Amino acid sequence: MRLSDQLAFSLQLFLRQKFRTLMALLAVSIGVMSVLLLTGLSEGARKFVLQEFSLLGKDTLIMLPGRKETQGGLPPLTGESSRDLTLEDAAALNRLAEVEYTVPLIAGLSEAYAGGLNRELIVLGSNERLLELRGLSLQQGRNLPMSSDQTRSPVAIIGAGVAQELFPASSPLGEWIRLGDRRFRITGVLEPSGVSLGTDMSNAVIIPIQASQQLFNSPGLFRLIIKLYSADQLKTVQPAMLNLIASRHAGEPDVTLITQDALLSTFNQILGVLTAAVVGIASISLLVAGVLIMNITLISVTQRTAEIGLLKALGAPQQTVLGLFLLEAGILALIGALLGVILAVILLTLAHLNWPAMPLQIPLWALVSAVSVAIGVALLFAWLPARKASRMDPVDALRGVANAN
Amino acid sequence: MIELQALSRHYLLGGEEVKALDQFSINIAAGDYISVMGPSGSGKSTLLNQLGLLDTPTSGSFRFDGVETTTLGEAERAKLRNNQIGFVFQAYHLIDRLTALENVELPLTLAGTDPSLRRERASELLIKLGLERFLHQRPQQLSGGQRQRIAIARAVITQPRLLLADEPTGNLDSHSGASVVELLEQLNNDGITLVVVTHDADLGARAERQLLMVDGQLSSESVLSKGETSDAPL
Repeated sequence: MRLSDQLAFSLQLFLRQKFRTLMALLAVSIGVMSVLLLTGLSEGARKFVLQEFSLLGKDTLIMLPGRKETQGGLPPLTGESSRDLTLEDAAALNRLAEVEYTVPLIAGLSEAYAGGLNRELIVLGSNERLLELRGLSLQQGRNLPMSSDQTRSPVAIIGAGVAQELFPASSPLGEWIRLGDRRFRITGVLEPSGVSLGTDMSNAVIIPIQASQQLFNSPGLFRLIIKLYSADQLKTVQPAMLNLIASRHAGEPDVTLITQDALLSTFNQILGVLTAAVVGIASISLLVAGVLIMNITLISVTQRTAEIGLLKALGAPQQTVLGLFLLEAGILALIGALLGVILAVILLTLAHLNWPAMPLQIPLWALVSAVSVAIGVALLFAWLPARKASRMDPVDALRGVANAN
Repeated sequence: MIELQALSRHYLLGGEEVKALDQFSINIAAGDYISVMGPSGSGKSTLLNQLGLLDTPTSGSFRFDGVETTTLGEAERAKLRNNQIGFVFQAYHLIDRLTALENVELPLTLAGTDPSLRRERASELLIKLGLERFLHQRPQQLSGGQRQRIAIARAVITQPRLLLADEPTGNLDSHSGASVVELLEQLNNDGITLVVVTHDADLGARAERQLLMVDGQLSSESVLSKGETSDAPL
C-alpha cells in the first residue's frame, strides 16, 4: 500500500471521527505546549540572569568577606567569625600591580526625603568607578568625586525613577536629598537602565562609600569588586590577593573570591537543573497524551475489528495493518505537536511583548525534542494496540463484526 | 486448480476438541461452480476460510495452482488472497467512510496499484456491472442488493481466479438476491471459479457441483450440468 494511500485512509478516518481526533490533538498539543512554554520561560530566566551577571566582565573579581559564605558545606559548629573587609584592605589590594582599580560596595535600604516627598530607596555606597564598571551612564550632572575627596563630599547620584518620583516638576541637580539623618546634594541622574546585578538602578541612590559607612554605621564592605588590567591575570593574581588579605587579617585569608566564570557556571548549573526539573514535570503531560493516544488507538482497533478482518481478507499483510494504525497515531501526534508549537510561540511572544527584558524564546533543542518525544511516545503507546490489530485472526475479526451487527 | 488433501481444522472449545474440518479432500477445477451446503456447524464456513487462506489447517495439504499453501508465510498468503481470491460476505463488509468506487478500488489500493490506473479499472468494472450510478455514493446510501453488488465488484477487481461467497443472499430480499446470484453466475460464466456457501437449498441447487457437509466431512456430492442448474428457482 502506497504511503499516500495510507495517509488518505487515515485522513478520511479523522474526518469521520472528529471528536476523537480533536481530543487526541488537544492532548498532544497541550503536552507539547506546556513543555515548550516552561522550557522557554526557564531558558529565558537563565539567559536573563546570565546576561545580568556577565556585565561584570571576565577581568573582574568579586571579594566577599568571610570564607565560608559561598563555598558550600555546613557552617563550622564552633562558630567562626570573620573580619570585616575594609576600605584599607581595598587600598592595599589596589596597590597590587595587576589591579587596575577596586570598587567597594555597601548596600542598604534607607528612607529618602526630598521636596516634601519621601520613599524608601536602595542606597549603594561606592566610588566613582562604579558607573564605569557596571556600564551605567549619566543622564544629567556628573559622577561622584574622586575617592580621595569623598569624605568631604556629601553628594549623591540618583536613579532616573527616583528623579521622576521625588522631583517630578524640576531638575534634581543641585537639590538636597535626605537619607536617614544625613543630607546629600544631588550631582547626577542615571540613565534609565533597568535592572543591573539584581538591583533596579532606576530606584537606587549612589553615595560615596565613606558616607554610606556612616549612614549604615558599618565599617565593613558588603562587596569589593576588583578590576584587573587583564583577564589573563585572573588565575595568577588570586593567591597574591589571598596572601595579602591573610597578612592584614592576622594570618587568616577570611574572604571569598568569585570570578564571573565561576559565578556564571554556578548559576548555569542551578538554572540548568531547574530547567531540567521543569521540563521533566511538563513531560508528564506528554506521557498523558501518549496514554490517551493508546486508548484512542485501542478503541479504534476494537471498533474497526471488522475493517481489520476485511483488509486482511483483501490481502493486507500484518505490516500494512500495523503501519496503518501507527501512521494514524503518528499523524495525530505530529499535527498535535505542531499545534502545540504554534500555541507556545504565540503565548511566549505575548509574554515577551509584556516583559521585553526577558529573552523568551524556545531553544531549538526543546523544540526538536518536544516534537520528537511527542511522536515517539505516541508511536510507542500505539504500538501495542496496533500490533494487536495486525495479529488479529481475519476469521475472528470478520466474525466479531458480524456478531456486533 | 485447487487440491485439498485430508485437510483438517481442529480447535479446542471448552476443553473439548472440535473437528470443524476433518480429513477433507476435494479437487476444484478452474471455472467450477460449487455450492457448499449443510447444517449449522457442519464446517461449511471453515472450508471457505481454508479455501480463502484466511485460516491455517491443523493438518493436510492445500495446493493452489500447484503451490502448497500450508507452508507459505503470512505475507505470501496475503499476496495470494489479494490477487487470486475474491470474497463476498453475507454482511457485505463495505467501509462506510469510503465511496462505492473507493470500496471497489480497495484491493488494488492494498496492492499498491497506481491511483489513476485503479480508478480507471474500478470505474470500468462498475460500469460493466451496471453500477455506474453508485460510483460516488457511500454504502449507507445504498440498498442491500446494491451493496452486495458493489462488494462483488470489489471481490473481482483484481481479476481473481477464485471467488468465494459466504451466504451472499442471506441478508437480501428475493428480488435483490436474484440479481446478486445472476451477477455471480455471470462472473462464473466469464471463467471465474465460484464457491458459494449457503443454507438456501434453491441457491445451492443452481451450482454444477453441490457439496453436502456433515460434521466437518464431505457427506455427498452431486454433479449437474450447467443446463440443469439454470432451472433451479432463485
